[in-house]
Amino acid sequence: MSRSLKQTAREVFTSKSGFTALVILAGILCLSAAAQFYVPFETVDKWNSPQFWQGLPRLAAPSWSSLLAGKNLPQTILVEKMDFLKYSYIIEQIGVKYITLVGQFEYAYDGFPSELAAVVEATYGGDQPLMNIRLERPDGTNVTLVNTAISNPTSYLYLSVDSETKARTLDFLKSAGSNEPKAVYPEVVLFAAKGANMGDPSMNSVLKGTYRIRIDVTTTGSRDDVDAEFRVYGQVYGLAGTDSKRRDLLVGLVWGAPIALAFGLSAAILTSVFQALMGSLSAWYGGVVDEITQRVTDIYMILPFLPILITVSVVYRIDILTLLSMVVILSLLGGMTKTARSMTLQVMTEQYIEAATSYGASRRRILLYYIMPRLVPYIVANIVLAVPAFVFLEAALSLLGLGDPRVPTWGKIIGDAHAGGAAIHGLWWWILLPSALIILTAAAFAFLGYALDRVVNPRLRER
Amino acid sequence: MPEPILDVRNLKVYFPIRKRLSKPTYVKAVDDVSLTLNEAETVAVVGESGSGKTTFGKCCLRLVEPHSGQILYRGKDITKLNSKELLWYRREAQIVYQDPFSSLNPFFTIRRTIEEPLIVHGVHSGPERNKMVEAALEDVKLTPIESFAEKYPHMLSGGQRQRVAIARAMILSPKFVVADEPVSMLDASVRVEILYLLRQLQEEHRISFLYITHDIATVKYFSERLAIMYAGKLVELGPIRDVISEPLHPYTQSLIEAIPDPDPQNRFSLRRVPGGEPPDPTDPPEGCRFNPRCHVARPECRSQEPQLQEVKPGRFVACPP
Amino acid sequence: MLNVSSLKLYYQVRGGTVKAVDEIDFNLEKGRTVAIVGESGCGKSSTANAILRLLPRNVNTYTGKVLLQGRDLMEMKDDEFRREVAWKKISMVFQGAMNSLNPVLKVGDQVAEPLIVHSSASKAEAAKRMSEALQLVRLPSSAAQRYPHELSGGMKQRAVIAMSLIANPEIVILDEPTSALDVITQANIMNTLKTLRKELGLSYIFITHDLALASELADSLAVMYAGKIVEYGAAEGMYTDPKHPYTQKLLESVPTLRTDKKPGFIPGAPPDLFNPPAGCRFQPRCPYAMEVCGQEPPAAEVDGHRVLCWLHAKR
Repeated sequence: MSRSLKQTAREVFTSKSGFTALVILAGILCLSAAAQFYVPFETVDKWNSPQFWQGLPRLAAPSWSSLLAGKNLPQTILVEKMDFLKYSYIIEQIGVKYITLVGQFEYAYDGFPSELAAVVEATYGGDQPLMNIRLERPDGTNVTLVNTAISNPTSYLYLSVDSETKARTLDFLKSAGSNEPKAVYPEVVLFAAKGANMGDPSMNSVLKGTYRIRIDVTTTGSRDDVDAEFRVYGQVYGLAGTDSKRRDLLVGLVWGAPIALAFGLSAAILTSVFQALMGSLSAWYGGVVDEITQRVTDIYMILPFLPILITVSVVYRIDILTLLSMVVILSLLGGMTKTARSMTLQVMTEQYIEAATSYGASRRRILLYYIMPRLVPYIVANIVLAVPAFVFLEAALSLLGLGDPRVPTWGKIIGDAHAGGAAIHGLWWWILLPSALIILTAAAFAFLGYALDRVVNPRLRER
Repeated sequence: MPEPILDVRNLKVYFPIRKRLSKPTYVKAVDDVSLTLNEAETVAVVGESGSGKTTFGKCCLRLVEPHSGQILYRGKDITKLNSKELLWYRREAQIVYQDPFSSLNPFFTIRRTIEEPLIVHGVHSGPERNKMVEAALEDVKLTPIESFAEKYPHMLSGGQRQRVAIARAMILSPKFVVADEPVSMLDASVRVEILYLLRQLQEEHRISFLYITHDIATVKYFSERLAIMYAGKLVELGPIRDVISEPLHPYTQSLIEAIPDPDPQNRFSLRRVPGGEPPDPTDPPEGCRFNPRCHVARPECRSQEPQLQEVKPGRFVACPP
Repeated sequence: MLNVSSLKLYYQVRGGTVKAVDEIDFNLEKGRTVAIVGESGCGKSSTANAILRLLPRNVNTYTGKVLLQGRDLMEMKDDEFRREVAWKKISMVFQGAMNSLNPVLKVGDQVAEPLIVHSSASKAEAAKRMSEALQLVRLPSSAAQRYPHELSGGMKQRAVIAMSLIANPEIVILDEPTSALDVITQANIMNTLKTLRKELGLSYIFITHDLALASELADSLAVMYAGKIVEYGAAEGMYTDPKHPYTQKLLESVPTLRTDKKPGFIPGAPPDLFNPPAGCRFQPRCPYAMEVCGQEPPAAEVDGHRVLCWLHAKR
């Protein structure tokens, strides 16, 4: 039988659709394998901890979308602690310590940053230090962004939405002779060339050049110290962009692959095999067993699958393994049962089955060694065609928010995208990339199933 | 006179058909048939479709359940066996089917097909089974063994497949084999070869055969006695030569008349055969079942069912003189 | 009446050509029967298909001459053939036809169908012809209203024969008309065929694997092996004094009821039409095989038989 398995495999994979399937599946398997190396599991663990993703921009498109846009879209520039030059001097007489941090960066992009932020870590004894953050632009103008007291050892300054920064930016804008825009975006204005419409992204232009950040801190303790990080968040990031929680979508997509495959395959295999077994047993033992099994199967087939799952997962928080178990339990009997039953009935009437009885083979033996092998091609074809259905099912449930909330699956990503209003805001990568992967996976299995079907059926037809 | 190996007494095989809520009707496939089979003897059971010959043969192997009657194999009534005894019987008695293709599992190699009965009956050692399979293949002259053992049935010709079926039947060294139309689906040039093979196996291994066929011309080559069945009843029984040269029952006479020998003179005359068809098995005619078609039917044939009578030693007929 | 010469029908299969009918010649006189006898796979059914132009899609070669009363049927266009010859001049009873009757149509409708398809007969005419045909084959007129599953095997076969006669053909090709029928039913059908031949002046091409059965109708006999006619002659001579080794062995292997001969058999199996051996096709199984048999044997005339065998070839 293994000979014909190899033959079957060869036939399947040399057909056009089989080959396509093979290519796609290989790609997805590579993706899954890459998941192990590129994105180790702790990253997945961190999927749900926002701290981890702070360095990434929010809702950033993939970097290759620069090519599509034709412009050189900005990447994130992080001026980190060690990038700052630190000067400090103490005036003992008045008990004042001045610390100055200077950092600089090149800005040569065609687009504006998406966000500006600063993280200031200060150690101080008694009084709160004062801090002044100033941006020195390539055209020589300087803008103070923040002039305030440091009230926490670690301050997160979201400059793009900080009211003080916005007010100061507005002043700068007016002093530069520009019209007042409807809304003030510091990340735009501060990086725009001076002109009449500095605040209007549709009419202004980017000021390219070397920018400096100067942070002056005045503090009272001699031991006080300050470190800072300045973030110029870009518009694009990585291969798959980011979502509203600044998470690198590539991580989610890459990890979604093995999850989708594993879920789809295990659900498909478990349900197909069990259904076929039930169908076969039902036909083989006949009588009351057959009647009962068929009626229960009918009930199963009428049951509304999705509503039940939705109901359960609304009431109970379920994890992905529980979801899988529930899906399998709800699919223990189904269409494959009926098919296996009729196939078994057909095989049962063949003469070599009666011949087996005549030399004393037990009913169990005949079922296992004579009848079940006939069903294997159908079961395999059914498994392959069921995988896309289960992949879609998982995606649909996750999308509805009913799946495992912690695990990043493709469906979950789409669900987040929907919740984050991706469609409305034109965040195409958030929706299209996971959808494309789901469709590709489903298509791969459909191709495989199609190729398998062509191989499986002629064999039976020529009998 | 040694005990017959098989002694069938008053066997009835009825299949119920449920016709709505009325009382059940039966297809009376075998209706009160008694027959004995001696050791190393072949009895040919000849009849047309619907005569019950195949059902009779299968019932002797308990592949079909009897309605009533006894089937004594070596004195033991096999209609009343428990499962362990049944397994024993399934070793002693085998069957060779008509269709050499559908009686072999298409997914088993020839080797597997033949060794399967051994596995079922507990021959666990692989090498021992291989030896027995090879001996069986040699017995049926499927040599060289290497060119057959690993093939699948569809790679073999009809005659070769039938040899495999015979090898499979012989592997457990049975004493009683039912050959159900073993050569009907084979080419003419191959038929006699297979029948000779069966005869040879019979002589070598002292096996008793029930040779079921509709082709009366072949019984000369592989049977000692001939039983004629019609509509579930045994109508004539006796040694081959006697029955063929001097058929006593009108049906037997028609059967013989109906079969052509290769003679170009045949085309100038019509054969004298009865018209009509064998009767409906759920509703056979009153009295002798053959009477509607019988050319010597008398008034009492329509009311009295004739019994099988021994008119000469060993010569039975169910038609009063 | 019918003259077949050099008829060839080759099929194209995955891997090569199957030479199903490989250059055969035979004649059929009016009111006579020629029986084509051979084992499974020898090409006899393909011959019937070739004559009636019932070709599958994978035909590779289809050449030769089929002269019907002087007119070459192979020259005719497809629609002309279908209009004028098919069923009207030559009809056929197919192998296993009784099992291919449409189970959802009444028998009478199916018997009448060829008439409606092949000619422009009105429904009334067709009904009349249909009941005549049923009478011819000794079926009760009530059979017309029945469905196939309500009839016995013999009755179904008679219905199929009626179907073949409905357009008044001159030649009927019978391809194993009695296979799967009981012996007594078979004898009855053969009786009917014999009677019809006389009543209607039909000519038969009777195809069968059963030599004994062929003798029931055959005036002349053509023995086919691996796509070729290896011996062809009048029935008397063929049965009493066959010349070709295959014919001899085939005759020997027929079990006879009335005589006490020892039957023979032919070792081996009929060849694969896909890769026939070079030269004489029967050589691997022939008891008289000689070295020269590696070449195609020529046709020879011996005692009124046409034989394809080196034993009888003129040196």
